[in-house]
Amino acid sequence: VISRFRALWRNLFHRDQLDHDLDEELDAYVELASAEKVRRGISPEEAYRDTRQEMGGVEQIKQGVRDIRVGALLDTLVQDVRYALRQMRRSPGFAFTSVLTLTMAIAANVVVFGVLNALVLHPLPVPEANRVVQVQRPNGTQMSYLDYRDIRDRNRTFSDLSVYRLARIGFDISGNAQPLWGYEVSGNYFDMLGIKPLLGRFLRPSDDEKKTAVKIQCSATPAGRRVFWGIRKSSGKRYG
Amino acid sequence: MAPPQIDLLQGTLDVLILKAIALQELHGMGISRRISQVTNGAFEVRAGSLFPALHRMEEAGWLSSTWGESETNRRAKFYSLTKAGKKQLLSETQRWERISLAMAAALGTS
Repeated sequence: VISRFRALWRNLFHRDQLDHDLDEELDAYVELASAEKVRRGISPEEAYRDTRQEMGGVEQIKQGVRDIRVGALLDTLVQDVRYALRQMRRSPGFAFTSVLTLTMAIAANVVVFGVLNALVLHPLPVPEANRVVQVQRPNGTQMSYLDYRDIRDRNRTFSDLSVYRLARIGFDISGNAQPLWGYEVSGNYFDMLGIKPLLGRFLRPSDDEKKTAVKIQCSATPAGRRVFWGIRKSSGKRYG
Repeated sequence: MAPPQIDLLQGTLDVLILKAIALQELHGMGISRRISQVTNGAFEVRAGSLFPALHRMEEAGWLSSTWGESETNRRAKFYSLTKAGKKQLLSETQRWERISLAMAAALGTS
């Protein structure tokens, strides 16, 4: 095993020396074989020609030796890559089309896998995520809060119905107002999903009935306690 | 009149090379001549098979090589057996003895 590692090292980093040695080794073979023929009384020219003929192509022999060297596969790989690069330079149109095709194919796969990953492999981090569904109007338009209340109160299909809306909100972080994207949700939102904060409390259904803002303290991580303001939907006002 | 040539069987070349340099170190040409001698001309090893085999066996650690002077004062590469090469020769010899006995028995010539 050690000798193979040594051979690999030589083959990769001292290739010129190796090829030079091989040339000399084969030259010596030709000369020695010819000299033997000369001793048997053949003219030097004829002996040399005979030997070359017996040997077959010297280049083929050299290639034969290179092919058995440890790491010959690596060598071939490098040659293939070089060849590919040369071909690409020769026909840039083809190269561009190939790169574009590959780019689009990979991008499409990434997108499909991303969706699959989010929906199938990593479902929502709530208990019984398979029971959570989204209810929409057939034409996709938003419904009013009052419509929602009617549907919720007459619903006999689902165990609970909650509503949310994307909203731009101002968020007060130690005295500085920060614009944030958030969701306005109905009071039963967290109860419906079955998630609880580690500390404090989330909005609860009874908060919907209050006329003024309620202050809620909660934290999703044990380390940080953060203060959130619950916002009454009907008031239309937003507080940081 | 040269005796009829036999095609080299798979695996014969290695053991013939090992045997050829068991007594003294030889260069490529010398190994080729020695094999032809000891097999009474039945095996003629061509350079195209000899050199790849030599280099493969050297990488395997069975042979070591040094540059030296040939009988005609030509710089040449001489091969000799390493310890691993001697072990290989021994096990290959035993393997071939078993094979030739088995073949002889099977063909009813013994």
